[in-house]
Amino acid sequence: MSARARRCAATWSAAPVAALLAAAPGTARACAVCMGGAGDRAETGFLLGSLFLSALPLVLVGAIVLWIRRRARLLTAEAASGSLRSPETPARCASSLGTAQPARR
Amino acid sequence: MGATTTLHALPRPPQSGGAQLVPSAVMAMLIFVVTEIMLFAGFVSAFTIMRRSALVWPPPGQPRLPVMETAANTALLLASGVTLVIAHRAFRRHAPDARTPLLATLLLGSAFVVLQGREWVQLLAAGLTMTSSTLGSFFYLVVGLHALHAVVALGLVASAWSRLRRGFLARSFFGVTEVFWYFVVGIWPLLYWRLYL
Repeated sequence: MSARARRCAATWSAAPVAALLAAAPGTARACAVCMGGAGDRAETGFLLGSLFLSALPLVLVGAIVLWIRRRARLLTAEAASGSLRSPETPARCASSLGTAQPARR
Repeated sequence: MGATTTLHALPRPPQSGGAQLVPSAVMAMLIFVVTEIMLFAGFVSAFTIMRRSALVWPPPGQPRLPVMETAANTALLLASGVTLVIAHRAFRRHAPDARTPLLATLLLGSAFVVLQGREWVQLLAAGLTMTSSTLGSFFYLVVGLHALHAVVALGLVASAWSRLRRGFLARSFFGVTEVFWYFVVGIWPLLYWRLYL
């Protein structure tokens, strides 16, 4: 068989395979690392994982920003009311953060 | 000359010990904890996908994870979080009063780590190893990583308790300790839910 004939035969035999894959997109989409054979459960797992990992950084950063805003409001309110203590005395308004507090025996 | 004028015009940085919004050490620990949460989230996500993709779960021939014993351990760890909250409040009122709840945190946390170690020994003896199945690989990786964090956090709690006992504990150090221990306590229920249940 000539090289041209082999190429022609390969092309014609690939056509039915391509048609089969087009008719079964689920199988065509499968890859070695996607565990596509497991069906819907794997797909749901990927979806949940993507949603979880996408939302988590936003939630974490948002929580830190809200906490800092809350602390800023608290400090502003206490400064306005005059209850903010000087650095020499333990600052209750700064909660447990900031200055060193000697422990009395 | 102009540069000097500009420098003088700049606002002065806050003096150390002032009422800082968030101390640098605490902020650094918060950022570190965020990265650690993302690390655990990656493992949990991978485990979820692997578990949902498995045709049979748990893998056949593998021992079952001790759900009830670990639930008791979880209660110990959560209790250590509560004692740390009590220590936080006591520290704000009168620092030496925080010694006892801080020691309780240390003891409860240590009990959690020791009991988890005992559980590992039993599971290894029952045939669950890093290479025996995907369950074993994920279990030892995720729970081991958490145990490593718990040991480091216990070191911080022990150091805070020791400093308090000697009569001087910086608030920023106590804040750093709190953030890390709350992370260790807070992430565990999620790991327990995903791995054990």
